[in-house]
Amino acid sequence: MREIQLSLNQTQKIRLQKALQKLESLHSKVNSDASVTVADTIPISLEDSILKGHGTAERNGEVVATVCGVVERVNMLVYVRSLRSRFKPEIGDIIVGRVVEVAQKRWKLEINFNQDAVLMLSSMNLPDGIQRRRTAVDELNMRNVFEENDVICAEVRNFQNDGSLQLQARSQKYGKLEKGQLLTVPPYLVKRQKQHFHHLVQYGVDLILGCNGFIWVGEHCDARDTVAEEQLNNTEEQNTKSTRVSENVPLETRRSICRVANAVRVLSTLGFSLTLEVILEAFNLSSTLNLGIDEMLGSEFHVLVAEKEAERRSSLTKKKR
Amino acid sequence: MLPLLQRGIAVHHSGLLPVIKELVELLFQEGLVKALFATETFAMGLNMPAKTVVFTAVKKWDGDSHRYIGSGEYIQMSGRAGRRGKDERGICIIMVDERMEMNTLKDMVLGKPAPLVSTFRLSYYSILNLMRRAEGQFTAEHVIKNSFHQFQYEKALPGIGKKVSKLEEEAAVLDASGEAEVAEYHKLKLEMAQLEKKMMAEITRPERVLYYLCTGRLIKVREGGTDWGWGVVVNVVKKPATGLGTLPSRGAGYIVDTLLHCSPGSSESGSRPRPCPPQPGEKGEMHVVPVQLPLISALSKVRISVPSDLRPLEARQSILLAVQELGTRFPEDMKIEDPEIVDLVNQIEELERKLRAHPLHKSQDVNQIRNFERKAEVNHEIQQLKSKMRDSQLQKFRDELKNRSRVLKRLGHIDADGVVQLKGRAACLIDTGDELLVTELMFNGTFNDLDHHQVAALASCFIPVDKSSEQIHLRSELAKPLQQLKRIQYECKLDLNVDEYVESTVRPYLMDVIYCWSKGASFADVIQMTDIFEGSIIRSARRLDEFLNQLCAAAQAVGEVSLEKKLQQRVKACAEVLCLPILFIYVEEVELDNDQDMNEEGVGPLANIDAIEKGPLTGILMAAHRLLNMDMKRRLEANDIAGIMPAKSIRSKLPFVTIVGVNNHGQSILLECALISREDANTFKWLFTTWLEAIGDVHPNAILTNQCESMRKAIREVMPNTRHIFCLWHILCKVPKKFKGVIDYDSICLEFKAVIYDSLTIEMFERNWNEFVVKHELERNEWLSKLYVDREYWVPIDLNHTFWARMV
Repeated sequence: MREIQLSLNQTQKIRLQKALQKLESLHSKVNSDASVTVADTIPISLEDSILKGHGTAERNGEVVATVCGVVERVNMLVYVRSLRSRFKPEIGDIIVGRVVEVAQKRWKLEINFNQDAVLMLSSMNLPDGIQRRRTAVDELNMRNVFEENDVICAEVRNFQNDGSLQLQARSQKYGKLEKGQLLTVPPYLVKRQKQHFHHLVQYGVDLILGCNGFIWVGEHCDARDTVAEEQLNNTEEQNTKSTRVSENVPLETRRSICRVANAVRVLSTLGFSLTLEVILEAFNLSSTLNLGIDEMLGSEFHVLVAEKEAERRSSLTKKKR
Repeated sequence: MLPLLQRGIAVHHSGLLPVIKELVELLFQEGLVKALFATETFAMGLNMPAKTVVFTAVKKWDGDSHRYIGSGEYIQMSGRAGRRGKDERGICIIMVDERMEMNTLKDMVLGKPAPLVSTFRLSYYSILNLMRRAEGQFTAEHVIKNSFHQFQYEKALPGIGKKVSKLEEEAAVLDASGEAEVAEYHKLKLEMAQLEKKMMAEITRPERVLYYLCTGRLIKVREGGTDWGWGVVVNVVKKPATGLGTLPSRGAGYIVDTLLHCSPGSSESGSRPRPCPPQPGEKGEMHVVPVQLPLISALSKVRISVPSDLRPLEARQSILLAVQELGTRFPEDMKIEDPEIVDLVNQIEELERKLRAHPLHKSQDVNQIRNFERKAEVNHEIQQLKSKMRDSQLQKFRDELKNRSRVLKRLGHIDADGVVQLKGRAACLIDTGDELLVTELMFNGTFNDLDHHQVAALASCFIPVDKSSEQIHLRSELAKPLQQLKRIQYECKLDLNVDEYVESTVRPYLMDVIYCWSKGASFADVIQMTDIFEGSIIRSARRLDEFLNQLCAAAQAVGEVSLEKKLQQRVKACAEVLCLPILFIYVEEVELDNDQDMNEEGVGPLANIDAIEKGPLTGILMAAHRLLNMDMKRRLEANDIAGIMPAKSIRSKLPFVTIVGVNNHGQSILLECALISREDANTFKWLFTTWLEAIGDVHPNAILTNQCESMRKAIREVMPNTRHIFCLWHILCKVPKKFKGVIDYDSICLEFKAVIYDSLTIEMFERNWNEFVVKHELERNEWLSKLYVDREYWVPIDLNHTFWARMV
């Protein structure tokens, strides 16, 4: 495990260690010998014909791991789920990315993958919402939709033969993200879930947990059709564009956005996987303690969150029993 | 087939080899086939008009029953009659047999086409694919809600509602006076009928009744509403059991041949008349009619002697007389001593009495009773419609979705939250076969210890095939996985009847065939092994190819390298095998072209049709344009030709060769193109020989190719006098790849080009080359040394004394 880099005083250090130990002990009870490092032999019974999946190799008649991680078994298949790795997209993942290039009929997005992802103009809902062929005019107007450095949310559509990635944004949910913060966390902290879009109603904040480890926290907007409308009027309102961006987000919402963002930051520093539940818990903890937003990044809060998380998980496991 | 074709008669159905089908179609379009016997398959094709269409039958077997052809099918087929621009009118003849009724025919000929009805169905495949999209469940529901099926259902709703209200009205209108009494009467009647039925069931239990059913016994037969009266038993036959698993249901297994009093007319009309009892007063004849046990309604204790020969009419008539005589003498006779039956009989008698006593029995108000019955019927219908309205289709699908998700969860395709897991991702990729079963097999490692031939054979089980009657001789290496498969199926415990399911999904008829074919048996041998049509084999082999590709993708998704490799090997082998049928099609076209060539110009054939029969076909050569071909020949003779360039591109997995020339205007023209099965020297030799043959054996002055060793060998043999060079462009294309990793890449490239282009004499080139190699320490570079050996094939200075029409 990676060392957590924080400046802690002596008591904090001890408390943090205690909390982490508690977490570890909880974890090891679940599956003890499943984690392996490179070149560890994975125990298998020889008479079964096993399938060797990702992260395994055969050496001298033994199956060994080629990555650090956790051994997973599905029927006869044995594979190693690596602990830390670059984002490995699967079809259907929701990702948040930043436009790096506007090319012919496509945008290129940085998504923390080993290549830039491609979002074709044709796999994108037009601003006017009509289903039709994309014309040359559309192509010329591409910059009105997304520009370089815009943050976009989209879904992984498929892989090309050369391993490059195609995205699609054919839904009202996808599209440009504005008025908020983009956070980058290690992608393995975001687990694939049923829901990646979260609307925190009481704070008016949208939270998008991109599978690629890009997390968006921003002001809530309704199903994003406002964006579409804005696009419509965009051409005549070029001059108002700048004002629109800085259009006022209420201070309260801004605070909430920052608070959520900092909660995510704290959790990612501690290396806890990010779910809505955990994030909200950290958020609530900070507000009940009356901490300032800037104070959330202090070491004391880290320790508190770790303790709280340890408590929560242990209570969860108790409940299960 | 050939003798038939030569006489202008052809056959066309889906089981033919694709090549033959194509051949027949081409011949038909050319007007060379005078009479074609075809199935519906042919009618579905485009642009195949005929002068006359003849239906030899109006019924067809559609998989589960013989039915009349639908109006849509009729229109499609009869629409073939009449060729545009040739016939004034198309003629359609229907050979109707006498059993057809006017109305059915009318429906068929004039009826509206069948309405479009959605057969939307939720499969595991579609569920998984929906689920792995961002919002699984919601999307699935959304899709169902917006499906065509649901749309149709909603559209039908008001109609049903209207119908219900109409029926309700009708029920209200119906006279309801004395309803209670009628109801009681009706109930009594029903009760009695039920009791009678029960009694007869008791009586006709085979083990009891068979004892009495001996020749000469008098029995009373009743079928539905028709009462046959008394008949005489002639013989009792036990029907051969139809299926092995079917339980001998009561009475159904026996058939009693009975002499019955039939209407005289029935025996004369048609081949297989339906016997019917004579009208009262009409004089009938006795015939032997097979009767099923449950139809017997009464047994007599009397037996009469039956003459041994029943064929003469007189003998039968005499029995009739005897039966009639007996009927008058013994009106009621039933003797089976069994307390149960006696009891039943008593009950019936009592009921009958009650019935008689009932006031209605006297009045017999027919109208009233009819009204009552009608009302009951209407009420029943209303109820049914209402329930149909209630159980919304959406609800049904939602339930199914839930159930299927549960199955997926239990098999580990998705987790508790409905997030698709690794296994599910693999299953997502398979849609040709049964996705769950195949994934289960894969994850259990069934494919692991099989070699790739066996994998193919096993996979063939999942491809839908025509049923073969043949007993399958499973090879031992195949039988094992099949057994395993059945067991797994059982373990999966899908909420299905296991045997039935295995039967429906697993079709091992082709296992053996595919195995042998894969091992390299020739197609001709393979066909002998089964009674499935060869066309069907080809079709399923193509689907198998697709299936294996999917399996390969699934293996890749899982990350199982060895299996993936095995499957890829398999796919390759499969593709090679499948080349055959694809090639055939082209050969035909060529053949047809040849015929015309022969007639008009007297040029030899391009491709030999014999090649097909020999099996491993090397390739085919297509005349790009016949006239061009002639042009080419002339040009070659005039020594005007500059060069030919076979190039290769991958299309449908086969090397595609084009031969291009340059005309005297400096324009490049396509001379020939060909598809070949592999790129070896023999194939190219065949290609060049055939080509030379086609253009009248005029060798080109020069030929330009890429650096293909086998092509060089072939050219050296076939065209020894032709100057052969390599294409410099192809060589320079490789430069970036070959010099990859060299330190000063840019300067090397420049220098290399300088060496090639700027050398003025051969000696100068050699000097420059050596300097270049030494300077950059490239002595070890194999590619360069090979190029040097072949230098006279490509270095521009070496080629100066030949005319190249600026192709170099």
